Amino acid sequence: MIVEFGHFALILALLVAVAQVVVPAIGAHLKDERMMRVADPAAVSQLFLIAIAFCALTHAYVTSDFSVLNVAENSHSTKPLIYKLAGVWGNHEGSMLLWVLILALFGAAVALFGNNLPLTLKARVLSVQASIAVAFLLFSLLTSNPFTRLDPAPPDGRGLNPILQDPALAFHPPFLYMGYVGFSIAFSFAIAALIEGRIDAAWARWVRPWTLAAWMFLTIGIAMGSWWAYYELGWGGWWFWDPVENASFMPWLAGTALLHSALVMEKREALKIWTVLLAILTFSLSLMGTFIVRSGVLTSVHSFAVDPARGVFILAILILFTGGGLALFALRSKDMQAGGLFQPISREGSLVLNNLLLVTGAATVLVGTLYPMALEGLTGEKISVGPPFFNMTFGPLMIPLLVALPIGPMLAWKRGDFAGAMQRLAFAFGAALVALVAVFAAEYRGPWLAPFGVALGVYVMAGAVVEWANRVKFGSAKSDEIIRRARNLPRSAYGTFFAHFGIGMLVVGIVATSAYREEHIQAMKPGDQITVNGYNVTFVGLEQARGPNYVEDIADFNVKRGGETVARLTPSKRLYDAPPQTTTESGILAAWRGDLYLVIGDAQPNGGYAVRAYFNPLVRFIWLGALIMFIGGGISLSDRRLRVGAPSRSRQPVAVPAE
Amino acid sequence: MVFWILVAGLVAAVTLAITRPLMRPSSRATDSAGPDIAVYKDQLKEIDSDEARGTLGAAEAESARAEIARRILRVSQDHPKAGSHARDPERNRFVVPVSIATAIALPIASLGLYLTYGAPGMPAQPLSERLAEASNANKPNDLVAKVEERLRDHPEDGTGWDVIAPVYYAMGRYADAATAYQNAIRLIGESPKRLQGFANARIHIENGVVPEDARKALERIIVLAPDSSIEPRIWLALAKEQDGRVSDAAADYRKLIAEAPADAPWRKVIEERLANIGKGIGSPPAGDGNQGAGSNAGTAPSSATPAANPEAAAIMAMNPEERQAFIARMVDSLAARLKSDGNDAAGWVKLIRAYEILGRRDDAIKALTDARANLKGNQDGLAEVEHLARQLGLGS
Repeated sequence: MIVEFGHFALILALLVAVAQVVVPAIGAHLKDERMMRVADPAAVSQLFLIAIAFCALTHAYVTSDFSVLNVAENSHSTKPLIYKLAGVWGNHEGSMLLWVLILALFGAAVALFGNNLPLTLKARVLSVQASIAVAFLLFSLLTSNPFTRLDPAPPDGRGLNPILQDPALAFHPPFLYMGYVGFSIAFSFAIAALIEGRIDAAWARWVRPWTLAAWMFLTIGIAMGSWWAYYELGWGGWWFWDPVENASFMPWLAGTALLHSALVMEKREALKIWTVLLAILTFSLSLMGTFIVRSGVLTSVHSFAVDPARGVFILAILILFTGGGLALFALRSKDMQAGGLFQPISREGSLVLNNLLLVTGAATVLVGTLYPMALEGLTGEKISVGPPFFNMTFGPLMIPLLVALPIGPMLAWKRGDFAGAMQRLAFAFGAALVALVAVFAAEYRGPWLAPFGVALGVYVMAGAVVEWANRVKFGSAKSDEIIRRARNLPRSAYGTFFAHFGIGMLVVGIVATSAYREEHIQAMKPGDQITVNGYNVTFVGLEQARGPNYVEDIADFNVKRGGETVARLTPSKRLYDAPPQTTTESGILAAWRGDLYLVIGDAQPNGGYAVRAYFNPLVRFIWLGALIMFIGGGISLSDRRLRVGAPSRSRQPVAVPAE
Repeated sequence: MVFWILVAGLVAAVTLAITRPLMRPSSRATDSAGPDIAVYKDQLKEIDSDEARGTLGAAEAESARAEIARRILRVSQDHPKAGSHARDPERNRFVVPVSIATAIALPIASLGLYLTYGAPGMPAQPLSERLAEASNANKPNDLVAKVEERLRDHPEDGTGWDVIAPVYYAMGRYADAATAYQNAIRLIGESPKRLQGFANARIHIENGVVPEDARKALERIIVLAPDSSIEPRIWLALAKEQDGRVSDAAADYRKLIAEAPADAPWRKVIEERLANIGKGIGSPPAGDGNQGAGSNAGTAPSSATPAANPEAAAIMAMNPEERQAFIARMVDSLAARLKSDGNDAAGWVKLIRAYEILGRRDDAIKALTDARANLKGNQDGLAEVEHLARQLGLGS
């Protein structure tokens, strides 16, 4: 019964979404408050109904109800509970349900917390948001219904792909989707503004928290995915430039650009048209990511033909929203007035540069992702573009971006003082120089460009510190004055500090681990030793063990450093019961200076095992940097100013947040 | 019944929630400049604090203030009088029809769609309930759990392993079954049944390919019980065929058929296999025997020279179509194996080379792409494949 109730709730949610598209839109057109206010309860009801559906499907997974086709195809009775839960979105139908759930979550959040918005704008935003929901609910119900039943139920399910049975992978889709789908709000705001024909500095401020939230979740979602790839795929890499990763990276680049251009718009009312266009493009890239991952184009062009309904449906959604958005943009953007003027050397100018580079970067990734697919679709020829392409195109684009990154915040609005900014950045240049010399001294044999990369990262980190120090007058004011200033600094300034600092760390981590990685592949018998970057690793032996739904060969390694045992690592190879597939579990010894990373391979004919040992210097900086960026986003989001503008008709302020 | 009550409740609650704003008498201002002005006033305050903090010069602050003041002015002009845009709500003809339409359409359309796509009345069938129903006979899962529990405490209990092994096998847990049989054999000795069970489980894991350890077990059965060893002999013959020792396999098949009683159920299967592979053996080599593999021998130095071993001789002995079909079959089975286990550089090299020899260049390129994807982490293997790709000129 619960399953059927969930199915019914999903259908009702579709109809509520239809009402949410139509009624507030008419209301906004006629300036009728009653009709506009329908949007709020509709958005909340929609969330409530989709949540019921989602809980019903989860219940079916937890109780292993194999009379639900989706459960039978993707779950198994012996699977541990957390993977039964994660299994809900570990498949196509369930993940689409999660997609619409998060879409509804954002819609309801606007309905509940958007009291600071003008009524017509809010009604239009929610109406556009609901139109996206209608499209995806229809897609879900018509082509990939998670509640399709099976009678009689099979004795057991087919199981979740073992490679997905891992905590980081299990829980990164919700974050990733929060990011993807969060940009739908920016899109809805853009479309609403175009319909309304009015767009100004206040609009930029209203959009900012939503963009920021989406950006935060996308950042952490991508980082979790990369972390998972690092320790689960078993070769020590952390980014593969494969289309699934690119699908999430493109909206991230465009979203980062959007965050920055919205800043210019909010302060100076400049870049209005560009910002609106970016908002449309960012969400279009999210949709395209969904299309690439979900339609089956990715695994092969041929599977696209196996189930054309799905692929064509998502393609239609993509065309409708991207095309519709851009058409509306073309129609209305010329009515918009240009905003404030500025000199090339100014805060605005630096942000324009940032936008140009980020968008070009996104375009590069887009070409690298789509070209091989298009080629295969047209000619059947398979090519792999791979990391060399991206390293040669995307990498160089990011260098000027990083060089300019600390300079931008040093420049004043309208007209900046470049020489002054350089002077104030002297400390950052000094820090970079020290890093450069230190890295050259330590790794004189390495690739000669790498020390410059590390120095660039250090420069970005130091630049973030300098900016903060500058704002609190560190060095020129007295200590109590500094503390007072540090306290009074708006939270968004701290957000900027953390986000930029995190980027610097990320760069240091990427360069160090790419350039100075140590790699050994060796057949080892019990008792054999190998030395990896100062670690003395002894292969003790191998034994079999049984997990909840797999058998594994666990290798035992004794790791010594300076004669003392520092760790015992146990990389293993698992063979899952259902479906019978093998996965590798790496053994990792994490430390600040880098990770020791061991993988056990196949048995060799002579009784030994193929062992791969890596040392990945500073690799933790990559995810730590992303985490710091996420935290920076959170701090910025908590800034009081993002909530300004609540109309006076709201009730008594409940609690004033601590400033 | 409960279901329909819940559905009715849900529809009623949602419909009410959505139409409620429409029911309210309302004539308040719909669109005021309030929210905009609140933002701009806050921006003014920010400028004050920036100026106080010294991050903004007096002149810049002044021009920024003027800019914001212009924005406030413009917004106020857009909304000269709060509420003047709003129509008289009583005159809005749409509100009543929209309310009614919503209140009617939501229940009817949702029920209609549900009755079309849903399965009303179909009960949930959670595993626990279904197991409880099936428990009148016995509960295999409980039984398994009990034996597993015991084996955890007494892993040296060979009889326990012997009992649970066929159960695992029946449950489809082949890896466990293989381990259990192995333990039972180690602890309480070999028996044809255990050896056969072990071999079956291993063959299942390998998707029908007879692996080395299974082959050894099957050979042991023939030693232990030479009289009742039809099944192991069939598997061993199959293993030979899989190894490419076609003529040996064919001889074994013939022998099996000769000894088989006329009504043996497996007889037909063996005959078919034999028909597939054995037809051409014994016929003289065709004149163009060197055309296929031979002309490419230069690029395939590792493949043994034809006729140096019996299976190659057997292949050479076939007529061209048969040989093509035979090779294609071998290649397909290799491709299938690599699909399930891609981390085998030697296998990929073999496959790519085979496609090239067969003139299936598109497939060779595709296999090369697959190999690259599958060998991502395997540097040596990747190098080997890339070397071959250069050799064969298969693009990058």
